Amino acid sequence: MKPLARKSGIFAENLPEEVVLYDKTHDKVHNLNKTAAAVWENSDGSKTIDELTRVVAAKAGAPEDRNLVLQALEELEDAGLMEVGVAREAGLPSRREAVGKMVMAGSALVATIVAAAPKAHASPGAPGDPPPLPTPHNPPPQPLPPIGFRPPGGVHKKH
Amino acid sequence: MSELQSSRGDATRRLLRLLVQREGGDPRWPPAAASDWKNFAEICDNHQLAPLVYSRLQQFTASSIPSELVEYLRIRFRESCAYNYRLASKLVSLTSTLEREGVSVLAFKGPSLAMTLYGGFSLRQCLDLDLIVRTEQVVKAADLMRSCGYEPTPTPARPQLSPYLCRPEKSRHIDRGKEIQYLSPDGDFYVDLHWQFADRFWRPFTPDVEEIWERAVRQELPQGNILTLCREDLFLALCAHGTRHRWWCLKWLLDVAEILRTPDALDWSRIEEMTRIRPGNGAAASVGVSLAHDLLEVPVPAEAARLLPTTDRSRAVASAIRQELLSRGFSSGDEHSTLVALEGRPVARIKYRAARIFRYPESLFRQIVAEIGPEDRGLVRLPRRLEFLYHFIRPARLILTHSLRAARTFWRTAA
Repeated sequence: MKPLARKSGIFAENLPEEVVLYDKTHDKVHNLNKTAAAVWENSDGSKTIDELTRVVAAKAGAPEDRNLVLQALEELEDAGLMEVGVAREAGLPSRREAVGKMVMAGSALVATIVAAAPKAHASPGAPGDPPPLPTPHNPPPQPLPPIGFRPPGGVHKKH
Repeated sequence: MSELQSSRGDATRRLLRLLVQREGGDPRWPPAAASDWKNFAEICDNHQLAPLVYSRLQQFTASSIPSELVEYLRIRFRESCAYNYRLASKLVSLTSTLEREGVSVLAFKGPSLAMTLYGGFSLRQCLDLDLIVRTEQVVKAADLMRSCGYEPTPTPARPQLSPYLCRPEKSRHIDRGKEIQYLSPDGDFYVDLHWQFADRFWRPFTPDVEEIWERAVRQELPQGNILTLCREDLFLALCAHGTRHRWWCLKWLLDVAEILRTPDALDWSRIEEMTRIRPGNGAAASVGVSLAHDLLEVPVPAEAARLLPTTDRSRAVASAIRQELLSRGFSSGDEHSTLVALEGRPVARIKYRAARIFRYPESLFRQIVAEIGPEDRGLVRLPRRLEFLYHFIRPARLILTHSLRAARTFWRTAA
């Protein structure tokens, strides 16, 4: 099997430590770590899994890890970023499901951020979560006033 | 100086040190307490730099950076990616609609600027859309915005809410003002519809809005193409905008710094021509360039040093802003003091101060009589030809509301 990434309808933004993919077709945004990004970029339909593993290891400067590449391919497929992905045998769990609780959210190689309305995220989640992104429902922070400063009155003007 | 101001100053200095160090390695931050990191996160948010800071921290190997901070910034980064992408989609859609109806429109700042500076939407946090239309097309553009479901929003010092006074036909607002702010139909973002870069007193410090059209360029976004400012106009407009707001948001300074890092991409002969026509714009740009050099260690291109020389006034303004940022973590954002310090023409200074003296009663009048709010419209729905009656309904409503409130307070106190 030779994985083939979906490139049409996708705008890729390369950052130093990750890649952000804007999927225009499905109106989604995906955040790929280095490994997933290398897998996606090199899945051109001409490489087997083993060849892909070697290429990804060379690019990432890390030891070859076939399981990691397979996990990346599964996550990319789940995110709709593959034309030809990892063939899963019917009835068997995905690699991620098999590992189960060992694979926590933080170790996901592909994070999908739905380009949803910000007001969906208006309320803070767990304690310690950052305040919601400024939206009309949550005006952006104004210039920090000097301590003891009394504005003349009224709402600060949005900049 | 209070402890809070001091801690904010520390956080801002830490932030600046990180922004200066563009390559990987240890940022050489001193160990910080947990509360210091919270201040740092807050400062990143206030300066709208959380996505960029997150990306920079990813390159560092220092273990002294708490994982909670990185996680906080990661959430911000991802929120910003999604929000910016959505804003860009709306930008392309809205500009296409306006252009289809014959309204020329330029995109300014926002997703367009993110794409120009960083080649994507991830690193620059965007909050709203800024569109520029020709002065003679403001009325048509405003009508189209409303027909698309965008509603003018209330802001202080703007009579837009008045159904009579705020109509774009009112030449006074078009002459003296600069924009109308709209809320999107779904309530998710603002759109600022500009026809000037600044109100009348700040206009000498901005690019000539009539000239930018012939130099406008097409920009390709993933969702479609838009018209935007040429790089030289963008540079001067960003400097004018940042100086007017006293650079209280470091994101704006970073925008200017990114442009200065590729000086060969600027046509300096064009900038020379623009600043010759508008010396005030050159003064505002001089402040921006000085601060980018002082705070972000951006080399000043030789052409910038020649064409945008520092004057005593611009040097004083830049120095004061720098001092405010480094000591307290923020600048006052005070347009008034900045304009007074920067404006060198005696007649203009007198006119500005006189206008400001009269602004307070005017502001009071506007708040009580002119600015019609949803509460006023909710009392009674008037047909368009009777909308002037809202200017009588509003003060009556306010008097009644505040009288009742005062009576209740008095009754509670007496009891």
